[in-house]
Amino acid sequence: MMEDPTPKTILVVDDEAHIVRVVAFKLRAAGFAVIEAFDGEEAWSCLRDAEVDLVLTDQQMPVLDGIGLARRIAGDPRFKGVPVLMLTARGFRLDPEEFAGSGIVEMLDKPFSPRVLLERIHANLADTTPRREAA
Amino acid sequence: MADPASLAGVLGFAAGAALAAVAWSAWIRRRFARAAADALDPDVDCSTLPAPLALLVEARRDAVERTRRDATLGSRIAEERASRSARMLDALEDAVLVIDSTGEVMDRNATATALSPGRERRDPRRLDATIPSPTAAREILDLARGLAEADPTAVRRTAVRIIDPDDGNERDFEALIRRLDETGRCVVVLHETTREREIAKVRSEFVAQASHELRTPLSSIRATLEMFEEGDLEDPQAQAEMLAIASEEADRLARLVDDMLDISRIEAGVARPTIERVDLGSLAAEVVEGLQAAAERRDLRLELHVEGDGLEVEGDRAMLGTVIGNLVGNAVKYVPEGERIAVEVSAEDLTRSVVVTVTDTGLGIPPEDLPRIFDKFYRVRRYERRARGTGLGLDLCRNIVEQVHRGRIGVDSTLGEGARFWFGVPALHASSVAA
Repeated sequence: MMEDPTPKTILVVDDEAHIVRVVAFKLRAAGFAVIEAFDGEEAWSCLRDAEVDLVLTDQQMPVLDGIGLARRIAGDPRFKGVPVLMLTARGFRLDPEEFAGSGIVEMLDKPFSPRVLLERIHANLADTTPRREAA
Repeated sequence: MADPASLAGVLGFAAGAALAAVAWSAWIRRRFARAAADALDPDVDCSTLPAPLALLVEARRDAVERTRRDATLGSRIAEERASRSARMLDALEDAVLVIDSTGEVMDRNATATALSPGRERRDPRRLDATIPSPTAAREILDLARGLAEADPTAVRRTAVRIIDPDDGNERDFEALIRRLDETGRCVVVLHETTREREIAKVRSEFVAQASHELRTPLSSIRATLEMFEEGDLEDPQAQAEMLAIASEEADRLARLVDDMLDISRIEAGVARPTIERVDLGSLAAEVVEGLQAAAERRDLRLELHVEGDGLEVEGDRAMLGTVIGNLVGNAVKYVPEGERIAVEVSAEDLTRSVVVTVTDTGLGIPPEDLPRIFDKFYRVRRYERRARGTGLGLDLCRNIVEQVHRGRIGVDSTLGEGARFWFGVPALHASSVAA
């Protein structure tokens, strides 16, 4: 089986530019292509314009928050199989119902370990059928 | 031996005299009875009575009048006392009610009546009509019954939540139940704790928000450190970029902690300002000079206009410097490059205060953001991408101006035409304001 030479694309969404920079640096160093967005609405336009394999989003953001973005992704068949991971500094967990309806596959806390973040991204990409093949 | 004839005469006389005496005494009794009755009727003229009798009647009339007056006064005093007690109870913010051992409401003050104005009409003597929560009413009654066996000074307390059946509003109370007498009657005092709950909620929301704000800069710092440790930052350019981010975020973290501490000290009333004469004109000049380099880096024209002398106020120099610094610093951060920022210090006659205004020609603030712009952690969304502050700067300004200096702070803005932040602090000498 031949390895796919095209790098996987991760959409990183956070209204904190520094977080986006740090996460993007780690992911690019690991061989991913990274698209940066600073609120949910901007991320939504990026999703429509580019092929994205995984979304890593913050929760508290202006314009459209992380849950809102995740729901839109879950509700759109074009993005079937695109896992959404949430990286949030909120001190509470989402209630199970809200979590189930959002399509978020995993929650990660801030402050985060870039190494653990990378591991979780790899694990979640391995769990899903690549979107390009499914399409 | 006595003569029988003369004996009969004596006996006859004696009998006659006795009859006359009885008749006279009956007449006298009737006369006195009428006089006594007349004495009670103030309309009857007693001047026609014989002098001693008239005196007696007058004396009797006076006594009756005194008794009547005393009784009226006594009942007035009693009424006044009862009414004062009722007014006093009605003036209490706590609801007070007296219940008997069956739970029937014997008495209650106005606050207790107001607990359920709609239900009161149904059956005012029912405890669950006064306290419109069956669970709470039952719990209070159980506690009151338990007090019958307890020490007379014993008090029972419980927390009670009353939900308004009409609008669903929740009100919290602490119920205090104390035995009133041997028959099992109890006094119940309901002290509202809704405000305390709201304060606790606001505090908890603040802690949650503060924790979010603290974790965000910590994330960048922690991630950079780990990448360093794991050898991800061997490229000097990447290393420099990540270190710059970590350093900026560490500064932000320190500012955040400082702002939180300053605000909480002022809000708790434990801030110890050093009050001295402060010339706001020269203070503004210092602050503007300090920010000139940052303004130039963003190609901003930062100007200062100080109108006249005598711009002194009594206040904490460092705190007032923080206010001017935050207002000018925000403009330097958020106003688009090439724009103008004008800082003006002047005396205002009307309010007898010294006013500092920071006017910019930037983007302006959307009207929906204006009312909340001084709130903790509130950020204008359209500015979020430009720069990140602590979210506490304007709240700190408001606290320093309003709480510490008894001044006023505000903002005016038209979207697209810039913003004007201003604050005024009472002038040291009213005369200097007019001069």
